[in-house]
Amino acid sequence: MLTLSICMLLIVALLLIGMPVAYVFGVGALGFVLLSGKSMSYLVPHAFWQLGSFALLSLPLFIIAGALMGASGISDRLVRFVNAFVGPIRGGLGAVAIVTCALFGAIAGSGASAIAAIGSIMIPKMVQQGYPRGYATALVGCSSVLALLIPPSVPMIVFALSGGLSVAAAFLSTIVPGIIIALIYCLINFIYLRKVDTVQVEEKVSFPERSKLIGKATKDASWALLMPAIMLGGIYGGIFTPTEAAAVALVYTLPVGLFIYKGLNLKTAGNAIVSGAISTGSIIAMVFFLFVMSRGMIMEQVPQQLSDFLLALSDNKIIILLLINVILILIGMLVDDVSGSILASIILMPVAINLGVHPIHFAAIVGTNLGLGNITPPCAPLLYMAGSVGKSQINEYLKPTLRFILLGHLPVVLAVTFIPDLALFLPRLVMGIE
Amino acid sequence: MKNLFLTLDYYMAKLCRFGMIFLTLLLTGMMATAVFLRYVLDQSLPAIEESSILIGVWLYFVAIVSVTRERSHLTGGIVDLFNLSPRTRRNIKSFNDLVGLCVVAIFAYYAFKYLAFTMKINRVSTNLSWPTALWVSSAVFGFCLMAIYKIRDLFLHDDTYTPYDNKSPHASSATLKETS
Repeated sequence: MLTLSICMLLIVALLLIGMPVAYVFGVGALGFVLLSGKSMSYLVPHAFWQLGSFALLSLPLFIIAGALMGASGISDRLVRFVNAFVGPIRGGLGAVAIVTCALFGAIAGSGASAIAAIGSIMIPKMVQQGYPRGYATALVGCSSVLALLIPPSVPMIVFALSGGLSVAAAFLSTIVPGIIIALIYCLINFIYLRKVDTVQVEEKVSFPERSKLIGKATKDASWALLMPAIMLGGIYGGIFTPTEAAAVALVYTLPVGLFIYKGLNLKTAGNAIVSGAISTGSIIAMVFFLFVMSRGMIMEQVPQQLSDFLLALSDNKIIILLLINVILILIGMLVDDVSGSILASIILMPVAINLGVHPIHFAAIVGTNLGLGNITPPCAPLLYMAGSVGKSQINEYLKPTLRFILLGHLPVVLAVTFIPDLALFLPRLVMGIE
Repeated sequence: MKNLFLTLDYYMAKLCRFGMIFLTLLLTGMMATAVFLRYVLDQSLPAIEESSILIGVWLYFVAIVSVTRERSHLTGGIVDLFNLSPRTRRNIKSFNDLVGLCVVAIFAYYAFKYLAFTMKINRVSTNLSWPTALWVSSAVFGFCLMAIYKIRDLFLHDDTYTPYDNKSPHASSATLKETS
């Protein structure tokens, strides 16, 4: 327990001073190896071949496909598509931001890129229509988490691989919680904006005109919307593995971006591939060091020690699950969702399994909690990014953020934790998991 | 000396860019061909897993080198929330760079040791019978170049070289990339 405490304190301290997460895990790995007296000669090859997993190849391909789709100009089309349905309702633009973030997540799978792509369009639009700037920023920041919950989700790929679970089942586990969060956010948005006088509402148009508008917007966005349909349909229809689905998505994206949306040319396509590869590199660097550290932790029996420690605190399952939630939120506040999901699968999954929690249910608990951590101050990386994109100060967006967290995200986290069917319903229905 | 480094860095960046594009397209092409062969011609592409992993690990490590070069590693922390003096910030950065360099150098050593071992016993892959060193040398390449860029970081304190959006959730990077 002393080894664990020293290493954990060191890791937290280095994370707090802003050292790149990959190197922090590298230090943690060295710490575990030194303190336990084990040899690095075994751990480095082990981590290398873990990295060389066929399933992990889906990660760069999904990220690069998302980067290409983003660069081909889908954001505007998605916004117009959702706006055609809910535009003329009071608070409709807020709902557009929420739903578009979820749809963008289904294409790009990253909260940060959802903020960059959707936030830069939607925040100025909402401000123009009289939404308070802080509110618009908080709305986009909180909704960006939906990109992590709607598949393909990068943290879920990594969580499933490090926990030895089915990637497809992990994808399905967070869909229902993601949809519930989106609906609650829309509800909060509509209720809150009833009292805000400055908000303007789009002029209503006749039914035939609205239908025409919807038809045109749907046609424009259809190529982008087809991408998640092909990927997820292929995976759950048993046609492709997630890795092949990612490759097919990439093959699909290139002609759509180059010849149909025409947002890409050879240079921008190259830039998007490089940008996606660099995003992958920053994740893989972290994952490599984390694989080494996790092996060191397993050899030191850290998960077992933590499990014993938590179970010694209480034998009440509800209390232990609440403690796990708190730990996950703290992890989410300190590190990004990908490294958080690996840490959770290594450290906390054994505890959850000891408590009788289904691993796929635990995947949903991890996804929703880490998402919450990513938008919970003081660290809140996604929230601050939204603040930067929205050119808004923290005092402007803190209160609306807390409203979304306390009334929207937190209740869903608790519901997912204590109602396993929310996470397991779809995996059982589609994949027949026990 | 600095000019020489910058020239080498320029060509290395070009090479990494080409490498990332080429490896991504090759990987995608191979996977898509495998799917096409399976469903249209009812055939399989031999050793697809081994060869795609070879491309994949090289893609990973070339990308990691680019991330280190652009200082785009994901970071957490609360340093940005405090109004620290530039000197304190630089000291923290130098400390982080030094620790990063030590970590990378240690891992480079062990990657090299493993490469030497695989070459010594002449280990080959199961299906293709290619030397395993082809896979492992990607890690040696990656860690060695990372170490060089970490040494650079100890002496140069400029921000990123390129305008690529690194999708970093780190607030300060996001601002920088958004406005560029």
